[in-house]
Amino acid sequence: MMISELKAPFIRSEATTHGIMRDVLIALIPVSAMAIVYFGIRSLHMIILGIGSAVFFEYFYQKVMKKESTIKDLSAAVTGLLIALSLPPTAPLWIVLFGTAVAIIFVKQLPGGIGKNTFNPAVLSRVLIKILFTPLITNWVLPGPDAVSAATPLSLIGSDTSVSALISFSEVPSFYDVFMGNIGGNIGETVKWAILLGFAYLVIRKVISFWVPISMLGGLFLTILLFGKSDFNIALYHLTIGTAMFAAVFMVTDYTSGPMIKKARIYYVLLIGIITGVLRILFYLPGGVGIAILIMNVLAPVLDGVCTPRVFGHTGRTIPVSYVFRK
Amino acid sequence: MNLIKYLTTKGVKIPDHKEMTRDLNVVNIKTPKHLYYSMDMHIGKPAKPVVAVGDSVKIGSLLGKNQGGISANIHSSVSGKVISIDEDGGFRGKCELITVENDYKDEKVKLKDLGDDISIEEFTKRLQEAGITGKGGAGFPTHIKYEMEKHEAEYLLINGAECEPYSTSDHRCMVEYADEIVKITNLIMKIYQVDETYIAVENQMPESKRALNQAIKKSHSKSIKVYELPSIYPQGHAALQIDKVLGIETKEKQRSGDVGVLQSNVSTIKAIHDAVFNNETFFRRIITVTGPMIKTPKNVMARIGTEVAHLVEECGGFYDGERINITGGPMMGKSFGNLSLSVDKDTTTLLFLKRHSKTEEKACIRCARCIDHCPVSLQPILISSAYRTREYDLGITLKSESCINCGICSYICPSKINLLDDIQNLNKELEGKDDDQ
Repeated sequence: MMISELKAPFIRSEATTHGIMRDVLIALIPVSAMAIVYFGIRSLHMIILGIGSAVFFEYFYQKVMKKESTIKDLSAAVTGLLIALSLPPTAPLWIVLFGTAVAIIFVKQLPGGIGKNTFNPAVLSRVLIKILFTPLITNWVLPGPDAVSAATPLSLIGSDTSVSALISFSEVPSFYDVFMGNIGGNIGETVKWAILLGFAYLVIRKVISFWVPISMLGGLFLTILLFGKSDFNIALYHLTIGTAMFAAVFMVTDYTSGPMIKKARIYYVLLIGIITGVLRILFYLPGGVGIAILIMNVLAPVLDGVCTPRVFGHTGRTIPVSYVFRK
Repeated sequence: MNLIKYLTTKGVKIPDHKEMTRDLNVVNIKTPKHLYYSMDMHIGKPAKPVVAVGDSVKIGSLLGKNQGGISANIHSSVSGKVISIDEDGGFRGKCELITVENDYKDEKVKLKDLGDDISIEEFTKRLQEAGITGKGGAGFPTHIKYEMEKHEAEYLLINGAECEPYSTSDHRCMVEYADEIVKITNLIMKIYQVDETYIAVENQMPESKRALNQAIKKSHSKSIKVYELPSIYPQGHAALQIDKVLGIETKEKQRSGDVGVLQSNVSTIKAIHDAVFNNETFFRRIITVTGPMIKTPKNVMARIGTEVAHLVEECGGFYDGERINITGGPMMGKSFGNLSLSVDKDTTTLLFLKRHSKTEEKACIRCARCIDHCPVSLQPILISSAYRTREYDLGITLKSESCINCGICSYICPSKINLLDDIQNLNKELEGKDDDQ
């Protein structure tokens, strides 16, 4: 018997990478279901294609590179689903393929696979799609069988007119419609209550911290209040109309591309919120969330270095920033 | 109570399985025919045999003598005859091993009565004579601790937080010997002129708290308080407990005495009681024999020197299947293969777990759970990767030597990375490198 090789701790928690990713997928069920309900069967096609292609690209890459396959940990499936959900229903299907290929092969696998990427795969590919193919994916339709083309909700964000003034002209959806998802947008991002359900599930399962999404939205809210004529309604629309809530729950909470220290994670998401607000207000740039996340992905290790906790019994707390930069 | 500290307790909830033995009274078991005393039962120098083969001994007869410095006496736990003295293995490794054959007469030699007015010197001398060592698991000779801290003690902190899953020996000790614990506590407070005593217990063990409170009430003591700790692993760690209960942080390279705290495990306190009031040497202890592989888990009163195999037999034997034998708890215990080892003074628990196939290590996903949960705020994953890339100096920067070996990082890791192993290996590499004090 090789018993002498056994070392404490002799018991291990039930948590596994697979389990965490499965929880994220479960948390995405409400938004995925509502995407299909509101935007039709096409959403289902996008979702299946997103998950399928992401898993395929990961499998394919690891096969070619003769690496051990990690598709069973479900992380590729999560990335694929996130990409599908963050596209509008009118996006051509090949864009889904393009998105997952970029995310899995270039953002995730080239730096070394799960845990090694600097950028959030779904976010980087989403921003790239936005930059390269804007006309194709900003052609908003309202949910429903008629699929009427609508004013882009995000252009409201970019517009200078006070949103509260617009509400009376019924050009902006009411908060009730926003909450229920009766607005145009990316298929997984419109139904706010479904996002909140996913949020609650992830918090209960302890996959994410309650304060991370809240701090990001708080940062965004305060920034808009500060720069946007202190209008409460405008600030609230900024939180609810675009990608912000979806990103707060499912994007900025990504482990690998964010900081590791608890305190650093709060600063990280606060800054994402603030940068998003600044991009939206000062540069009239909708979709600032993605860019804000990418900027903070790069800065995450710096925050880790700054926020290193004090070790029990010691007084110093510094650790070389150069060290935390490595993954 | 420091509410903020209570709420921000770092650590982790672990399924504790204490229900297997929590409510079982401590039972006396048949003493075995042969008892084996390793002279290496404590931290420090092993004791030196002072008996010869053929000598008759009684309970309390000195077998091995304190070697001076950090060392402790070892006594016979049965009456009978010394039948051999040779080199053999104990839980702490190979050492001189005295074998005594039991004559089942249970004759005792007692230490002499101390009288009423006991000085610090008499008290610590008694601890030394009785061979008392820390019963919580470290096995530090108690008389040395009480001698070193004779001028500095402001608080007495009694550790009843048995945070390891499965272990219930301290819990049973508190439930069944609460009066004795309170009685000796009052005496120690008088001897050391300490005004405040805290007995730390876990809040999931209400029975021990109730028993202690009753005993305190009966003794009319106003300065002993039961302090409830959250049932989060690791509440039993000495320095963390001082910080939690008293709000005093033990700095690097300080001991509890340096911050004015006299700290003992409850079972050690009970042994001190027996030495002072019953004039007994340390010859037996409560051991929790438990785990899914043992047929009838029990809390047993076992004589020091009893073979593990004998205890297993007394507890109904094993279920079939692959097994891991552990002395101590599942988080910090040690595994052993040989059931003919015999229990020593700090054997708290004998745990027999089912053996599972080895968990395969996966890539780190940077979930940071190890960092979030480390009770001393280390960054285990960074230390682990420093070890794996052989950058041992980074271990110093990352303060890896502050690790308390609690095992939470390895326990909680979803990728099943053996973080504690890496940290311990790195610390082994660092040992000797900064030995310049």
